[in-house]
Amino acid sequence: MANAPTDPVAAVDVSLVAAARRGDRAAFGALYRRHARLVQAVLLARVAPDSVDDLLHDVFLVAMDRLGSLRDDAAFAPWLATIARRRAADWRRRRRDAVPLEESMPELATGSGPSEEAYDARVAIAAIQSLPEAYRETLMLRFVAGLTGPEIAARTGLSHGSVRVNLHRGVEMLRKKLGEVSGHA
Amino acid sequence: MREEDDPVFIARLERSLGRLPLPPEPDWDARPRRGHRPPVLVYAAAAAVLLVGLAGALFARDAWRVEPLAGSPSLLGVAFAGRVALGGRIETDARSRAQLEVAGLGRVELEPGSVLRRVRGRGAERKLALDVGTLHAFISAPPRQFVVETPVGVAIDLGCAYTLTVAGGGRGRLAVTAGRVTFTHGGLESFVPAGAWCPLLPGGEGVPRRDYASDAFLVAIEALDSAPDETAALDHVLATAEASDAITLWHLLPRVDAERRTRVAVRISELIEVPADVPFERVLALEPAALDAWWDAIGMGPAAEWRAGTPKKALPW
Repeated sequence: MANAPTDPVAAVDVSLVAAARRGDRAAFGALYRRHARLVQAVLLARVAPDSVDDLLHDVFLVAMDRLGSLRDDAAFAPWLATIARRRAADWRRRRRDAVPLEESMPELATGSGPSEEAYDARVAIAAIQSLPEAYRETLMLRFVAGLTGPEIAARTGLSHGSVRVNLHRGVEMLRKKLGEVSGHA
Repeated sequence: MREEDDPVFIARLERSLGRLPLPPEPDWDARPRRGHRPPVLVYAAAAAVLLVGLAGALFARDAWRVEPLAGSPSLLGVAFAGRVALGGRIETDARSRAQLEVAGLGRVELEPGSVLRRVRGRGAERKLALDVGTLHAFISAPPRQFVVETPVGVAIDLGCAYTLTVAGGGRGRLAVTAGRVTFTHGGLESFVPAGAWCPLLPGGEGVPRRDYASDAFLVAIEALDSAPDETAALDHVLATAEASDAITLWHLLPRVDAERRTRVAVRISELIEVPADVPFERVLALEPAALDAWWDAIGMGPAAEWRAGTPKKALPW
């Protein structure tokens, strides 16, 4: 195990991971409840929303099986995010022959409905998924998982500066995109 | 984000995206447990643990969700948290029905009195084995990714909906309601389009026939299923066949002897316009290209498409 973590979230994870590794299923359940939103956000940045629930479970089942291979218990969250990215990549590979990802994503609403409508989750997710890849995960982590900039940096390995830039530019692009949808650019 | 970012816009995003529903938490206790090893044995057991872990991960990644539709279907073998994994089995008793759902492929419904196993397919293939009972498959996966094995042969999905029944004694029925299915057994291949069905027989599958073929033809072909070597049965089939029964006659070509094959081929050429540039003798010699050319003339889609699979189209489920 690495040095004691300074991140309070990671500090709690350390004890839960240790217990889960000893076979404590309740501890693993606690890890699920603490990090399900993180995994949901990582997946939503990459796969069709209707596939997220299944993949989310799969990510945690893989994590349960591989918990013994985690070297730094404080790094549980970034490790989990890596599993989710790999799982999403598998999903995309499998779907490539079936239907282009974009076709399986929810479409942006069109027309000039009230602007409030344009902010509903479905439209917002579709809008984020249409952004360049660099911004998708950062925005999902910010708004779906509710993480702060420093927390996103800790879980993605990006620098604080990069996260700040991604969020700022991503939000700007998203606002333009949703503005176009609602007719209030 | 910076101070200049629109706080109202940010708040709206937080409101709409911060409350997305999460799936129900799995029952972690239902997952098979691996025993904890004391540290001194860790190195000795590392290889075994790694193998079990990898296998477990594979099971988890491939797990199919099972939902009861009626009664209490049983999950046996390798199963956990409502999913059946490779090597696992679903059984429905006389009062139970179950549904399997896999994102990206479609769904399968299992009727009462059925035993269905998940078995390993080749590559990206997802494979089930129906030992007994009835399943309804509603599949919109890429062609040839969804396969169901039976004691008689193998049904390969080309993007379709179908019902497959396996009864005792190697008998059963494959009926296609949408899209296409190929059924293979002992090197023979049947192309079963929507609106057609074929019986499963102890010696392999019977030839496909249209749902709306004439009663006389259906009776005749059933008699031929029971007595494939009887000349009178073949006579009756040929006499009652209509142009749209060419699909059935075409499947008879590789299944009858040379003398009878000539009669079947002649009858097909009377019923439909066969390609003039394909020598008759090449069809009688069962040359694949010649047979394919005749199949193409039937108008059920090129044989090459049946083998390679048709491009994915949206299906109504």
